[in-house]
Amino acid sequence: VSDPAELTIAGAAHEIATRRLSPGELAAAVLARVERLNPRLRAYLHVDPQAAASGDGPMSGIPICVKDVIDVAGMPTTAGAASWSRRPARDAGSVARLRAAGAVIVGKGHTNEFAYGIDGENPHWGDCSNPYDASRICGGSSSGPAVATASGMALAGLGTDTSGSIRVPAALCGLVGLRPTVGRVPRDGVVPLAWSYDVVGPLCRSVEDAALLFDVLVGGSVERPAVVRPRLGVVEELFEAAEGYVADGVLEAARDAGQLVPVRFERLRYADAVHQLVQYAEAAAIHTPWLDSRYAPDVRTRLEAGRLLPAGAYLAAQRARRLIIEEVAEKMTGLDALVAPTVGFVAPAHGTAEVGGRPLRAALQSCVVPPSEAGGPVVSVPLGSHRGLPYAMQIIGRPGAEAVVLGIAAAVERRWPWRERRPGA
Amino acid sequence: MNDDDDTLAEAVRAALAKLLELARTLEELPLEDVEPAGWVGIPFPNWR
Repeated sequence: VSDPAELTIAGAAHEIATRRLSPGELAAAVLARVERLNPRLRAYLHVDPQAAASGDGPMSGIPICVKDVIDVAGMPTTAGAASWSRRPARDAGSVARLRAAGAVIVGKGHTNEFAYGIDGENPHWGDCSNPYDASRICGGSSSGPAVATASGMALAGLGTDTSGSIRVPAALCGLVGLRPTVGRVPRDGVVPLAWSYDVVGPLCRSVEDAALLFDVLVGGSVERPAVVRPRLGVVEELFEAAEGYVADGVLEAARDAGQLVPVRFERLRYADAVHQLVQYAEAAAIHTPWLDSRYAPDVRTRLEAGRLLPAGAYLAAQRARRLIIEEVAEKMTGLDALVAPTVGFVAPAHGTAEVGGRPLRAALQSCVVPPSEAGGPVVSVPLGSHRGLPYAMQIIGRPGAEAVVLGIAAAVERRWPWRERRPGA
Repeated sequence: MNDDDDTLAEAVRAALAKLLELARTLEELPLEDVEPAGWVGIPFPNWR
């Protein structure tokens, strides 16, 4: 790779450590990409042209794009909203850990309005576009961190995931996206969407980078047990709406990585109902103080409907969620992880209303919402391309088992490494 | 109420009706004696 903006974190750290590359040269290469590409792809809502490292550690000089729902001291947090913003004096806990490790915060990444969307489009700030084909969506709501990382406007991104907001853009943009266990990465200084599901996590070019960034985010080095021929539960329900090339790709990759065990979940069909009820109610509670501000009609509709939801419906959903968690725990006995597609198709064109007879939002979320219910880590790893556009699989683990899912993902990733996958490769 | 308000009110009614329909599907589940799932990671004091 001749352009430093295309290096992985591990690759750049090696170049910097051996003095073949300086942090200043790396930042300049990334900022040149921002200047060239951001007007077309809209990965950033705010850029710091003087971006520089303030700490020293495993991320020394590594340029990162931070989703604009996460506070960075000295930069505005707009959450992609029309008329709401704040100017934080302190970094979010996750950002503070990145900075202490030497990361360079390039700017604030594009997001769906208040992270309440999955397509990477935003009526107030413009739509973010896919670096593989700018006429297509990139997925969201961590759209900016995904597009910046895939296109060389950052070496990695920091995003949030409630209903797939790290995994969907990672899948559509050919990146590794990690949704950590709920509660494992600090989420202070983050504009919440739904407390029951919100997590902060990395979007990266490789599994190794995701593991490096995860270590920094949890404030220590996570043990990496060897995962030899793992037993992988194939979540059959989540393959039903996938295109053939995605379903076949996931099965083939999983078969190469371990032993397959078909699994069906009686309660998974309630996952979408549970998720919507919990998310509508919690988002409405969070937004109550801000409802005087301006929202896009679809977001305001969800918030107003959530305010009217009876408490009994919310509690029924949380009780049903416990039943789902218990069933997942029981069926994972003897398994190392579960596998499923991340998104059942490649990135659709901007303006697409439906996929497979379902509204786009429901179609994009159908495979990523059920794993959010269980609360454990999920990594999305790229598998291959169809008509030049990436598709991916999810590896779903027990709570706290990030090292296991990342270990399995590392085996899968060899099928399509970053050097062959990056846009324009 | 202007046209925008009417449109919003109608959309909210439709969204709420859909949510209540989703809530009704959960009545099929054996929820008696099930405690709600909580927010993992929120540091509630240990009262027991």
